[in-house]
Order: sequence, then structure tokens, then C-alpha cells
Amino acid sequence: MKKITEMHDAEFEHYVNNGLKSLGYAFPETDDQMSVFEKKVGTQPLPKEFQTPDFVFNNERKVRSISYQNQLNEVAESNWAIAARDGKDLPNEILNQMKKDKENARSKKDGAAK
Amino acid sequence: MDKELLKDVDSLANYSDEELFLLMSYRDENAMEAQKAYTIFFHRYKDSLWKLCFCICSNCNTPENEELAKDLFQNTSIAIYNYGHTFDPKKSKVTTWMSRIAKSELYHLLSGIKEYRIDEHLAVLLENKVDEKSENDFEFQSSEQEALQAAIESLTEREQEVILTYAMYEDGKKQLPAEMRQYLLDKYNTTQLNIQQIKSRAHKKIKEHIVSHSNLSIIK
Repeated sequence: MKKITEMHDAEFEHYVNNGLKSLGYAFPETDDQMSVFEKKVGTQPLPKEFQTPDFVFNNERKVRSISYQNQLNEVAESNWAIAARDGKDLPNEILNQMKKDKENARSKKDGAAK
Repeated sequence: MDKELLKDVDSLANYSDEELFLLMSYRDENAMEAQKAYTIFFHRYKDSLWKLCFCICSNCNTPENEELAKDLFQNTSIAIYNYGHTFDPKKSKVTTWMSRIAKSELYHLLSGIKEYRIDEHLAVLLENKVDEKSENDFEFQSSEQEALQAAIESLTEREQEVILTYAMYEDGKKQLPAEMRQYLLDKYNTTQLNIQQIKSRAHKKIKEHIVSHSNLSIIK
């Protein structure tokens, strides 16, 4: 006979988060979550550059300061491109969004330059 | 690292993780011994750490996930070498502690922080606080794991990103960092209220999927 797990509605979000961490959708944070992760998730071949730990002793830290910013700019540019294709009579909500995108991009560009 | 001096690395092969961390902590006084100790530790856990980095970054909605996984692996490996002495085996097993370091490193990589603020980072590591098992933690059965995986895959890209971002950063008393909240708002050109609705809708879909595909029963 199969075991039935019962829980209250309010506990469900915690349950889902526990599951996501156990399955590697988010970082495992308890030993139990890590144990499930280690057992359930298959291995991946390690890239060649990491076969020895020399990069650690050379202290070669990676910095990735603009990847999210690039994504945001791509989204903003995409909105502009869609609007441009649609032609002249743009609804007010699109015009407002274009204005907002432009202002966001400008303020972030200014912030990055400081 | 000088190959001649690495000849006797194997002499440390039977050392425990804690003994290796102790040798690493003397890297200023005896760099060679510290590097030998780390080499043993690295080979012991490199596959495990890479699996974690690769798996997590595969779920990050960025254009170059494998490159991100490599950067995360590299920075986490360096942090482990520098801060191994903060590990406390009474609080967690070593892979759980490494996962916590990787989480902090990913946040640094993605949040666009230009300067590596070492004091702030060290504080996270020294805290070495690993979530205790909650009384509300349910035993996660195999059928539920499969149902959860299928449920996540059935979500839209936006729902997936919202729910995974919250799961990554928000838990119990911990709130979603302001930078990550703003990232979601900007990326989807939406409001905080709408993000909450997307999250709520995604949870509802997951719940319906798990209940209909596993032995889980929700009590109203």
C-alpha cells in the first residue's frame, strides 16, 4: 500500500522550496537536501581546464558585472523594435513603456559610468 | 605548482577534510603544504562541486549557462581554499557548506557587484549558518520528486524564473534581495504585485500537478 503524505495548504510553499533545493533547481541548504541532490542528480563531465587546481593557486577570480545589465538592455531594445515594426499609431501604454525603458536604460548607463 | 614538490601529495590522501583545512589555513607560513592539502581536497570534491554548479546554472535564465557554471566553479574553489577554516563539521557536512559558498558566489556573479567586497563575503562564510531541518520538512517521496520536476518543466519561462529566483534567495525569514527583485521587475516590465501573482499562479499549477501525479494530499 502506497504511503500518502498529507499537508496543510499553508505548508505547501515550504514543501516546494525544499523539493527545488533537493533536486538542484536551487542550492541545497540542509544535509537532507544535499543527500537527495547527490543521490538523484547525475554527474557531469568536468571541463578540461579544471582537471588541476592551479587556477586556485593563481587566485584567478572571475568577474561578471554586466551580464544582467545586458539582458535588461536586450529586453528594452526588443520593445523598441516591436514598436517600430508596428508603425505610427501606437497605443499610449506602449508609448509609456518605451519612455520608461529609455529612462531606465539612460539612468543605468549613467550609474555605470560613475 | 612545482611537480617536484607535488611528489608527496599522496602522503596526505588519508587526511580528513578538517585536517586538510587546517593545513590550508597555514598557507601564509607554509604555502607548499597548504597547496598539497588543497590538491587532495580538490580531487576529492571537484566532481561534486561541478555537478552542483552546472545543475544550478542550467536553471539560470542567462544566455551562456555553461560559462556561468565555469565562473561559479572557479570562484567557489578559490573561496574554499581561502576560507576553509570557517567550516564547522558539527553544523553540516562539507558538501552542504560548499553549496552555501557557491550560493554566495553566484549572487556576487549575477548581481552586477563590480567590486568584490571581501569583508562582506567573509561575513557570510564565517556565519557558516546552515538551515536546520525544519519540523515542517516532509519526507520527499520519489513519486513527488518526479511530479515536481514535471511540474516545473510545464511552467512558462517567466513562471519558472520567478519561482526559482524566489526559491534561491527567499526562505523563511530571508527576503529576496532588492537587486534580484528589481531584476525581475525590469526584465518583465511589470509590477511587484504582478510578480506575486505570477508566483502564486505557478505554485497553484505545481500543486495541481503534484497532487494529481503523486501520493500527496493537501488539507484545506
